[in-house]
Amino acid sequence: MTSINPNSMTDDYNFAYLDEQTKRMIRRGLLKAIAIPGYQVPFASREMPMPYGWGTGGVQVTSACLTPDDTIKVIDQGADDTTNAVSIRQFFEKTALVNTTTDTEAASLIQTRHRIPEHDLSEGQILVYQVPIPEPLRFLEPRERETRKMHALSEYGLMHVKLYEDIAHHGHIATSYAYPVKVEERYVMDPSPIPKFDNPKMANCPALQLFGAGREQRLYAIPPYCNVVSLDFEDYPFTRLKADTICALCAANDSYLDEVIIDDSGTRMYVCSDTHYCEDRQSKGHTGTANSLDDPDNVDRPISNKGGDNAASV
Amino acid sequence: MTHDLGGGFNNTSKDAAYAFRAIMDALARPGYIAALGGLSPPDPLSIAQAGIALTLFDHETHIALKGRYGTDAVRAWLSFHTGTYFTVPEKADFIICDHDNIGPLDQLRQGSDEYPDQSATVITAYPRLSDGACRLTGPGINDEVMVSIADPSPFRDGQRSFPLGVDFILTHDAHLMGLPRTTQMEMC
Repeated sequence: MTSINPNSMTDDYNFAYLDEQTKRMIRRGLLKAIAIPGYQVPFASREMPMPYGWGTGGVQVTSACLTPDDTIKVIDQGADDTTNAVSIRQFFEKTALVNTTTDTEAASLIQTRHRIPEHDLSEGQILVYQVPIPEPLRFLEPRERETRKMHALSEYGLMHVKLYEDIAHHGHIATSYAYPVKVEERYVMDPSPIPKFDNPKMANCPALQLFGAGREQRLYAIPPYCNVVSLDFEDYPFTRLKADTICALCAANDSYLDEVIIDDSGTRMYVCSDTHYCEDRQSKGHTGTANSLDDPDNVDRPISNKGGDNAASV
Repeated sequence: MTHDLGGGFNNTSKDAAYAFRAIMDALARPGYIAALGGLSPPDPLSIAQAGIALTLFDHETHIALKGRYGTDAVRAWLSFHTGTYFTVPEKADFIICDHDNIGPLDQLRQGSDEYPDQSATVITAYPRLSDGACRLTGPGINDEVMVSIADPSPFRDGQRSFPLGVDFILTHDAHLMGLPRTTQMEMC
């Protein structure tokens, strides 16, 4: 086996994997997506060396945007260390030789599946969303020709009927993720399946937000400082939603929490979905109930996975 | 007659990646002046116009060269580096021209209600890109930004209402500034 000189990796792969013609096609599409915020630009999505549903759209957008100077971060539901995030991060380490990080503030490009980081994004950063179904009206109207006409005519009554039916059935708008937004008072857009807790972060965001749907072959974008409004009613205004507690590891009360079932009797632990945010807070000395093992209350209830000696006392 | 075909990207992949980021930054943040480099195109193409061409043109695009850009040397250079097709402005995806030679916008492709993305992008030379008396507001702009556009009318007269429209990239030497259809312009 020959040894691999990292400097020659781009001889094996074109920079950032995709061929130049594909990148040009995606780049032209991205520029039109930026010029028409919230509008879905069709593009000739390629087969990628990963299955649909693993972020093929996001990977193609990232590949078309990446420069050798970028530092990228990849998250899956907020976590840097899940399979999808790790494999995509390694993909770009290998094919583009770019630096990677888990630090939200240090990243110039962040590819995300289903979350917006808790840290505020800054000017010059790019957030690339992996999108499964880009068409917000798809489950209301399955025909593409019809939904395209509805966007052309700004005919979004059906979406309001759907939200109204939520209220009629559940007493409140029960849509809790992929909550539709209107961009610059024109296009209704699917924000990808982010929790609606994240929706307000899309508005007036200093970072450029790009969306790629590989299987559905669509690109769309929200330029920085854009007007993004979650659809609602005067008497049922949009509300954010998160578990009504604090993080068990870092005690954050302002972050989106994942619910983790930790034993057979259904005991639950709530932890930040954004792993970097949580680790950052813990390194600054914030501790939640689950990792303050010095606390006598916690000794007999080791609900952290770092149980150590305490694990024996269950 | 032979033309000098040198002066393109040294490393197609990486140079185009840097150039695209400059172009995308410019269009995503109207009023922000981006720069690209590393090219020596034939006159009268500017470095920025050439960089945009080599980053975005290929055999899937139709482009129009207006006025002094319609020379054999420019055509030969663009053909060699991109393989693009040449056409009239009315049918073009990209138009390279001077700022005083853009022509009536209603004759350019502005997209359709269903597909507003199928519209032209005009890559125009501009005498000066800096701070100035024209106020820009809209998506991509934090509050407002002032730029050195002397007269907004060539960029806005004949523009159909959003989402239809033509997008502009203004260039000067190696510098470029985006002016998408969403940007509102006002002289102060």
